[in-house]
Amino acid sequence: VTLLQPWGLALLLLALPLVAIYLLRGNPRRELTTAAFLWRGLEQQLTARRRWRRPPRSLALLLQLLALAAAVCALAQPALDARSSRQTVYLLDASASMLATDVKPNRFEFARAAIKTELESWQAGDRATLILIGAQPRVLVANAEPAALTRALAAARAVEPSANLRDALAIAGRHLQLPLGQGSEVVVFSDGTLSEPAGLERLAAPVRFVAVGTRGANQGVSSLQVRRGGGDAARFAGFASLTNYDTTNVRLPVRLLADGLPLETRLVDVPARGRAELPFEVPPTARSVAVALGGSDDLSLDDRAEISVPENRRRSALLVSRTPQAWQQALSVIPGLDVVVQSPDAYHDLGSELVVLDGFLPPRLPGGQLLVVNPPSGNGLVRVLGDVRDAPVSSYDAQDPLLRALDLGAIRLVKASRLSIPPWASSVAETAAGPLVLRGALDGRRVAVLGFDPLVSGLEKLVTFPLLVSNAVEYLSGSGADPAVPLGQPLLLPVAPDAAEVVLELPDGSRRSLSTGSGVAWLDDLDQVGRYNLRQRLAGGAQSQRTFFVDLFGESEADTAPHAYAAWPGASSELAAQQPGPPLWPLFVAAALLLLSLEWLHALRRG
Amino acid sequence: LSRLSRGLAGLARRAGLGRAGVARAERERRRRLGWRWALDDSLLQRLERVGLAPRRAAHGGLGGEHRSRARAASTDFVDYRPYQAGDDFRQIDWNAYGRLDQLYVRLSEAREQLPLHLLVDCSASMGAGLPDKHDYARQIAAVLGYVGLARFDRVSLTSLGGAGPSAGPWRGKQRFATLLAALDDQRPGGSLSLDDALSGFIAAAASYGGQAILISDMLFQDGYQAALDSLLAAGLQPGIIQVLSPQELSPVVGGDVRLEDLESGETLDVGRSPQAVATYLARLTDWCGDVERFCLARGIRYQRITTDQPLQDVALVSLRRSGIVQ
Repeated sequence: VTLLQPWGLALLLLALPLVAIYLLRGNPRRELTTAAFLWRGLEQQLTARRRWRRPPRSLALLLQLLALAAAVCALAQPALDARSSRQTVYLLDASASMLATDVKPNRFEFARAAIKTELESWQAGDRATLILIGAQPRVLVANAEPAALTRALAAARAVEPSANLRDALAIAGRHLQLPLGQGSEVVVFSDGTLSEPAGLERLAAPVRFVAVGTRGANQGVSSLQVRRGGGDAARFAGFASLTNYDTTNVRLPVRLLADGLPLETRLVDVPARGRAELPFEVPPTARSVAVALGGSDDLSLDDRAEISVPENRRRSALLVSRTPQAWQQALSVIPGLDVVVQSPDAYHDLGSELVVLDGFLPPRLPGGQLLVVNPPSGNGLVRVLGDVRDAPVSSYDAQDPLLRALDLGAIRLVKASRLSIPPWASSVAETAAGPLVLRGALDGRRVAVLGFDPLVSGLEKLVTFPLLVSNAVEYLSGSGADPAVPLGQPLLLPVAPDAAEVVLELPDGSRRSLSTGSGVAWLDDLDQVGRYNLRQRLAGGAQSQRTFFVDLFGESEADTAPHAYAAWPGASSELAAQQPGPPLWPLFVAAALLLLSLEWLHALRRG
Repeated sequence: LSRLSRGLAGLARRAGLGRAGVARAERERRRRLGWRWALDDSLLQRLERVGLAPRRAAHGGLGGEHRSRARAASTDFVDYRPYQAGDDFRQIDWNAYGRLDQLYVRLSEAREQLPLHLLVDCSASMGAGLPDKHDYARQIAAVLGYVGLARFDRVSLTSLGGAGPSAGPWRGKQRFATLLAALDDQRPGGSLSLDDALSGFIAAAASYGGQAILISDMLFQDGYQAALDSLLAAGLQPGIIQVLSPQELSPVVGGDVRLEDLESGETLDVGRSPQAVATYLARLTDWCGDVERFCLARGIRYQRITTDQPLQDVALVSLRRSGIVQ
């Protein structure tokens, strides 16, 4: 038991005057009697002839002393000792940067071995928790014995696209169970993150950071894109961006590949902590291009990037609008797109790959990819809840393919609709009144919904409008030409509703069957870098294939230089020492009240 | 802490939460009625069947319900005696003459009123106790007075010491309210010498004879024997009802107190050790025993009661057992 306020025990000295009251003879209490003559001669038994008297055997005194002791103990705030068992929470960084090989065999294995070494010094009764730090930290084992921890440690893999250290520390804090035994701590094995985990409350146990890694000698492909040529719609160009995260200039041999076959090899100079751009031509028949770095750096995961090349063919688009001029102008500048314009009154389905429905929805939706603009109320696709006026765009996903390179934050819409989000869609831009832009997959095709009329809202006069149309067309007609997916990012792909079988082939050659029937495939565990194939076998026996690539793009993991923290958020050892076990003072308060009640009852009985 | 506890206990008692807590309505009734609270209708109805029990025939005047030493014309046959010259011819039993051929006179007994003197000790010592001894004495006096008035006895009230009237005599139940009013006016106080107090009473009441019921704690430091003897000598039939409080019979043990006598003002510093209290109780027991023995030796009816006894039990049981009522 620990006393948090030991000075409170000094109040026990109050027992002395309390006892003295019983010992010390005061002036006798005056009391009237009806027959004093019967008391005569009894003065000799007056105990107070002496100044002090023998301590009386008084139940009241005993109860009062006990009540005083209980109250003093409550003031001293006793608490159970925090040494029931030692608790250790291990946080193991599982982000991609932990695969850097500046320590052998790599940082992740090095940290895993270090944890195993620490486990060897465990004593019986000690407990530990293992949390894998990723984009979403996961608790592998909680308050477990060493054997369970070792098993969980062996199964851990470093595949996470990022490390969310803040959430991991918060989870660790929740797994610390008071009282903490001596030596309890939170141990973080990580190469650090770019940003400090701010906003954390102080933890109950001290936090020990074990920095894994010694240097940042890494170069990687930080971006790879394929664009259709502006003048010639039949040609594509590739744009690669190489980044040197090291502190010295490097010259890298870079191999360009198309469909796995080498196109050319270049020597590219990349400055220290700098970037080099690498444009290249894509062969007309190529279906994918790749960029591979030579040389030897610490992290091989980002040394190769691959991306699909869009199908090199013309696409058909149907524009249904009462005011088609602005839309037609924006669509006509998109390479390889043949646009047919219809009035809503004269609408009939032409079987176009892309259909733009401006302020109009036919009773039966056409079969192509859909861009629905300012849907009328009462349509069967999305519920329109009402209008909002003079509404700024309050939030949007700038990384979404629909909104890429757009600055919607500066836009104030004169009029917009309030949409409800149907089950098949997700919201990518919102006003304060509700969703504004939706996208999703419905019945095996992509659908985008703009909850406003660009002409009425004044958007058509801004440069944002043609960019938005271009993004929408790219997104909707992007079959077979998905941009490279960053590692760990979930992906939603449409599948045929009548597909009999949907199989995902992973870069390591393994296959995984996906559920069919929902019209979409939700892929949220893309934890391998490389080529993925989504194969569908349709009910009629026909087969289709869709290829996409997952690459490690992003500075957060490619910059493998260990990071230090200016202000570590964990608890100090002093704080841990101040963390007692369960407080006991309520028990003593209750005991004091009970004793006082008994003393009261005793006084009542005595009158 | 003890003082705090007592204060809380007092609050609890006032709030009706104490262990001796009586229902709030009952406490309100007692407060409103004062010392009369125990004199309810049910008790008075049961007292209708109770009468005083004089040891000798009464001679308080004809018309009562008690046997008289005087022989008078009435229906209560007592005896025959041979006719003597001068006897009333109307008293001759002609049936007996027909059978016996001798003249006999029927003797019948006159019914007389019994004078009942209620002597209530109003000295300061009667104002002590919880419940109050004087209040209890007034309740006893009211009970006995009602019994007497219901039997058309001559009931009078004498206050010994203190403040209060000496009033009466009254006859008939309709005067019960007058008796209660006289009892209302009594206030305990001062010291009392029983000899002095009774001498005046005897001078005024001796000619009536009858019962003289002394209701007192009998804690007369100067003695009581001579006074009781004087009552007997005056031809009265004394009865003693000694009223004590529970606090007198079981004083608190522990603590040093300065005792102050309510009547004499004498002060004594006493440590109420168990031994001292035991000694006091022994003395009190002896004192009460002396009173009882004295009464028994002289044929004086005696009953000791404590103020925590239910009045109904005292009126219908204790006083009957002691022979004061029947």
